[in-house]
Parts: sequence; structure tokens; C-alpha cells
Amino acid sequence: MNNKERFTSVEEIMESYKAESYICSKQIATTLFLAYSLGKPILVEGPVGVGKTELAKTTAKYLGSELIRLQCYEGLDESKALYEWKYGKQLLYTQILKDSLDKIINNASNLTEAMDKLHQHEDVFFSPNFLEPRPLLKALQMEEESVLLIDEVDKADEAFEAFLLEILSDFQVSIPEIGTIEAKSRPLVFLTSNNTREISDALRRRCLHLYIPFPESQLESDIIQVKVPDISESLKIQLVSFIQQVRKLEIKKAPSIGETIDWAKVLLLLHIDKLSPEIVRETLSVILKFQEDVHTLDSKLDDITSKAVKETEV
Amino acid sequence: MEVILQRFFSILRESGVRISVGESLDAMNAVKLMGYSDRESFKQILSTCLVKKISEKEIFEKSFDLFFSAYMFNPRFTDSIDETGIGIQELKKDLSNISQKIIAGDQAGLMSIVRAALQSVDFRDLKLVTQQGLYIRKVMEHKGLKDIVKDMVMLSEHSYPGAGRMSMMLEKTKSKLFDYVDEYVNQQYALHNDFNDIANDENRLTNTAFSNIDQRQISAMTKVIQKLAKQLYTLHSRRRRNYKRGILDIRKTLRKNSSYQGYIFIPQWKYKKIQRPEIFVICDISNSVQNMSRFMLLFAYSLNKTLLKVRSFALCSNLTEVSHVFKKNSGEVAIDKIYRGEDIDISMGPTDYGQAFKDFKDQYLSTVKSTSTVIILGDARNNESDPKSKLLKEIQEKCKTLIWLNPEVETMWGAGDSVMDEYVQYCDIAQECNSINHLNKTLDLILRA
Repeated sequence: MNNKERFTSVEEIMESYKAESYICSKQIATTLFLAYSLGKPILVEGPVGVGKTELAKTTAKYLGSELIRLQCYEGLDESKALYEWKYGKQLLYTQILKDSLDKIINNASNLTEAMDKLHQHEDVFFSPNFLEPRPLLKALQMEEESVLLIDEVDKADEAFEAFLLEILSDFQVSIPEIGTIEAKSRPLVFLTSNNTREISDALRRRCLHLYIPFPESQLESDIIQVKVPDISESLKIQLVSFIQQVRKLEIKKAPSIGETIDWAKVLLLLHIDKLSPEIVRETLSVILKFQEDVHTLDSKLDDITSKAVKETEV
Repeated sequence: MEVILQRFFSILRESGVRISVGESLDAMNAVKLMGYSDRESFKQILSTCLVKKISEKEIFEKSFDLFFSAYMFNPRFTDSIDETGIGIQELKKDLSNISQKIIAGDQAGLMSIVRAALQSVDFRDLKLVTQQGLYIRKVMEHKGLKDIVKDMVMLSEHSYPGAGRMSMMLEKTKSKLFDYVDEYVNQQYALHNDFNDIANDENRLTNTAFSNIDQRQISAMTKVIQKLAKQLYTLHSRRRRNYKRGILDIRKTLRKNSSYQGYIFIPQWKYKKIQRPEIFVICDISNSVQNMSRFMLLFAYSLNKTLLKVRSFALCSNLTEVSHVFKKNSGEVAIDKIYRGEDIDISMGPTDYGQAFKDFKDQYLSTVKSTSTVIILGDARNNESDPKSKLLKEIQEKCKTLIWLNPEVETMWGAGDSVMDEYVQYCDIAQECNSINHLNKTLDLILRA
């Protein structure tokens, strides 16, 4: 299918993503549709593990285009994100071309003339041939439309954010030695953030904003259905109810969707069809990753489990 | 539709949501693209294009529901009455535009007149609840609406049987209209007043003395303080980065480039490693300075969270470290815990600075480095006990800078049981500090030092 036939309506997006086993809410689908139609980047925020990165991956799959991923971290700079000169290649070429360089210079009678002659050739070594494209430049150079994922942009320094502005608003970059490079095709850009640091207003302004919260019971249940199709209906309901209750507790790290899915898989492996306090205790390590959280939950575990089990008895 | 959207944007802006022109254009384009037949998706479109912060989503939700409430767009005022008695047709022609519409039951026509009246009034200055009456009158006095009254007078002069009924009809509609306008003005008040003064509030708070801050403003103050801490951090981190661009480091460059036969391809730069200043905050938490220390602790907490190595201590009859409380709890909770003395070893008797300095010297002075800054927050009211200013001198000698921030004005230092006049000679900086502005200046000083 041609890309032109993709992203035709919000409903179509929801259907197709479901086929790619990603359940997206109407809010997500609307934002995707707008981003595609208006050519705007999407800034995705939300707690850990609600499928921010997965959204970009699925979009790439759906569009049938390449996913270019840039993982941000503290100290990330232009040479890692945008481009770098191939020093080794430059060096090698100067060595190989030594003879021809000698010839050029030897014909010169004095130093100024030699320099002049060299000046006519210097750009050879700073040309696109010696350019090593990093993710951002690669995304701009793609012939086909691509999906660019700038992951955890909040982890990078503020200076890097400022540097992103040019790319995100005009889809072009300036390389001092070569000039401005414009995008051959506009990539669909996703930026994700976990809010460890406030993203600057300038960056926010250029993006559409999408907040993905933890899913409601119904949505989570649908997601599990898609990801773990073999699970029994009653266990699924109990599981979702349990997780939803745990998220309401005051704990360090609430279980994410990914962890819920893992847990569902574990329970399936163990051939369990009904939650009980003992089983929950044994498998708790799948959903809770802090010892303190396990302690917090421990006293309420029986209540929560019995409440979750009751959901299926009604 | 565009006009309505524009008005909605300006209301959001007033409420403190920052919307740029570009964003409003995006929103318009998006609405054009998707249409606005479905309320839920219309809301999502606006939300995704305009509101870029999670904290602003709530304001958006509230404003959206108020602004686009069904009542505003679909009121029902009038049923037609069919009067065809003698002379009535003549009479109808004499009626004004609005009354004709009412009599004919022309809902849409009536609504457009009402809207025109509402739009002619600028609600942006509606800030006080007492202004509502004035604004209702402004709308009702608008030419289109005022005509109803004129027509009622005119009708009462005729004695046709239909005239009375028409007059009654007008009267009834008029009172319904009044209710509608009343409701509308009420909503406008909610939109324009409620949470709109955020920008101004912040400014005002910065200048308010700590002691004058009431409970209601505390959360607002917290935000201001956190913002300030963040600003200071940005300022400081930028300075640090500048330092990194030093001069060519020849030794490092040769080493790095030895693999290229000595050709220098990757130059290495010298850079200074900047020490992050370590800060010791000693905060008086006795009742006399309670309001002030609350914010000082909050500030210490914000610093702790965002930037530097900060160790915090609480001081009353003795002194004890509270850094661990900050680490484990969120701001307000931590401060409450400190005041209740939970998890920390403090006795809340009369303030004794002498004893506190002794505790500090015995337990913590060894960790103070020559690069550290010590900040003491307190009024230096020692309840007549021994000030032991020699201990303060020792602390000063050990650290880089000793700063004393006193909530009292300088003329009060040394008055009564205050021993500030004695301490002041051992402080590198001693300042009155009683508002965010003061705090800002001082902290700037520390980071630049």
C-alpha cells in the first residue's frame, strides 16, 4: 500500500495499529493523524513503560519505512547525533594521494604559490564523501519517508535541545564546511520524554504534544488480549484489576504495561488460571522492581488479590 | 469558527497557558482538517496542538468545558404564537427586528441578535464578582435587545386582544434572555477571573516577605522557589560548560594523535575541572523564624534536588543533620517531618546558637572543605545564652565563604537578645533576607563566588 493511502482517517489508524498489535486510544490516533497531515513532530510524554517507544516502532512498521533511532544521554553532542568527519579515511586518502599532492606543490616556485594551489583543492577532503552521517543526518538523507525516533530527549543536555530546533522546524541542518542540507523527504519525528527534566518551551512549541497515561482497565485488558492471546478471560480480568489497584498505591515504581504483559506470560507458563496470594507473592518480582515496593504491597496483598478475584465472580 | 477559536486562545493565555501564534495556527489548520463535528475529538485536537505541558492540561480541560458548554450554543427561548386578529398584521410590521423574531419563533434569528449583543461587550476586564451586574446591564442595554422593552410599551397602547398576548410573550422571553445573559456573564467571570492571574501572581510573590505569606500562597510560593532553583542551576551549568573550552593541550593531543603518524587530526583541549560548590545549609527552625525557615528549607530542598551537593542541618536547642529526610521525602512532606521532629534528633527548646555551633564543630566540621560554602539562616536570637562566637570563627576559617541570612532588618541586629552584632564580624556575607528577591540575589552571589 502506498503511504498516501495510509493515515487517511483516525479510525483507519486505530484499526491498522491494532493489526500491528498496538492498541492505541483515540487520543493517540488523532495526534498521529495530525502529525502526519501537518508534518509536525510529536512529543510523547508519560510514565515509564506505557509504550512511548513502541508507538514509534509500530508507526515505522505501519508505514513500511525505516526506523532511525537516536537514544539521548547526557553529553550527547553533534558529532554523535548529526555527523562526523571520517578522520581515518581523510588520513588514508592524504597518504595515498601523497604523490599527486607532491606534484601539485613541486611545480610551485614559492610557498605562496604552493598554498594557492593547495587552496584550489582543499575542499576535496571536506566533502560529503568524507561525511559520516549519524542518525539525524541519516533521517534527512533518506530517499523514502522514514520515522525518526529521538528517545528520552530529557536525558540530553539543554544545549542539545536547542540544536534540535533547526531540524524539527525546518527539517534542515547546517554543516559549516558544506552548507545547509535539506531533507530529501520529511521524516515523521517522535520525541519521547520521561520528564526527568522540563523540556524547554521552544522545543515544546514546535511539536504536537501527546501524553500517554497508564491505560484504563478496558484498554489494558485489550492490550493483554492482543499481546498474550492465549490467556483465559477470567485470569485477564483478575490480572488487570490487580495491576490497576497496585498503581494506585504509593510506590516507587508503578508496574508498566510491559511488566503486566510479562506477568501475564509468566502466569500462563505456570498454568495458573486464578490469582491467589501465594502465587502473587511468588511472582511479584516480575511487576515490582524495588524491595521497598514489595514491602509496601505485602500487607495489602491479600485484600487486593481477593478483590481482584471477586471481579470475575460477579 | 475562527473568531470563537481566537477567543478561546486568548482565554487560555490569560489562564497561564503559553500559546504562541504558530501554535494557534497549527490548531486552526488541525481543526480545518478534522472538522469539529465530534466534540471529543475536537477537544483532543486542541489539546494536542495547544497544551504542551502536563500541568497545563487541567487548566485546559476546565477552560474547554466552560467555554464550549452546550448551554452557550443551544439555548431555547421562544415558541411561536400565531396571532391573526384584526390589525395585528399591521402591528407586527411596526415591531422591531428582535420582537418580530420572537413572535415568529425564529430561534436562529433571535440567537444571532443575542450573540451580536454579547460580542459587542468586551469581557476581558471582568475580574471581580461585583462587576457582573454591570456587565449584564451592558449586554441587555445593547440596541438589539433593548428594543423589546420599547415594543412592549408600544403594544400596551393598543387594545387589540392579540396585542396583550404578544406583550406577555415578549415579557416571558425577555426574562429568559436575562437569565441566559446572567449565566453567560457568570461563565465569562469564571473564565476570566479564576486562575488567570498566574503571571502577575508570581511577580508579586517574589517581593512578598516570608512572614506575610499565608497558607493559601504556600503552594504558589513553592513553585516560585523551584523555578528559581532551576534558573540558578541553568545559569551555573552554562558557566561550567564555557570553562571547558580551554586552550590546546599539547601533551594530550600528541598522545591522542600518535596513531595518525603524528598528524594532528583530533586536537585535544585543556579544560579546568570546575568543582561543584558544596553547600552546608544550617537552618533555624525555632518558632520565632518559622515562616522564614519553611521557605529556606524548601529552597535547600530544591537545590538538593536539582543541582549541588547540599547538606542540610536543622537548628534549635541543638543541631542535627536533616539531609536524609530531604532525600526520602518530597518537599512539603519533608519539611513537615522536620518540624514534627520525625526521624531526626532535635530538641525544640529555646534556640541556642552556641550549642548548635558546638554540635556542628564536633560532628560535621571535619567534612567542611576549603571550597565549601556554609549558609546559616536564622535571627540569631540566642535567648541570653552564651553565643560562643569563637566557634563561628572556626567554622569561617575552615570554609570558603560563610553566609548569614537574617530575616530581620539590619537595624534590629543586636537589639534585645539578638547576638547578630557579635556574629556579624565572622561572616563573609551577612544579609537581610526576607523575600524571594533577597534569596535570589544571595544565591546568585554564592554561585558566582
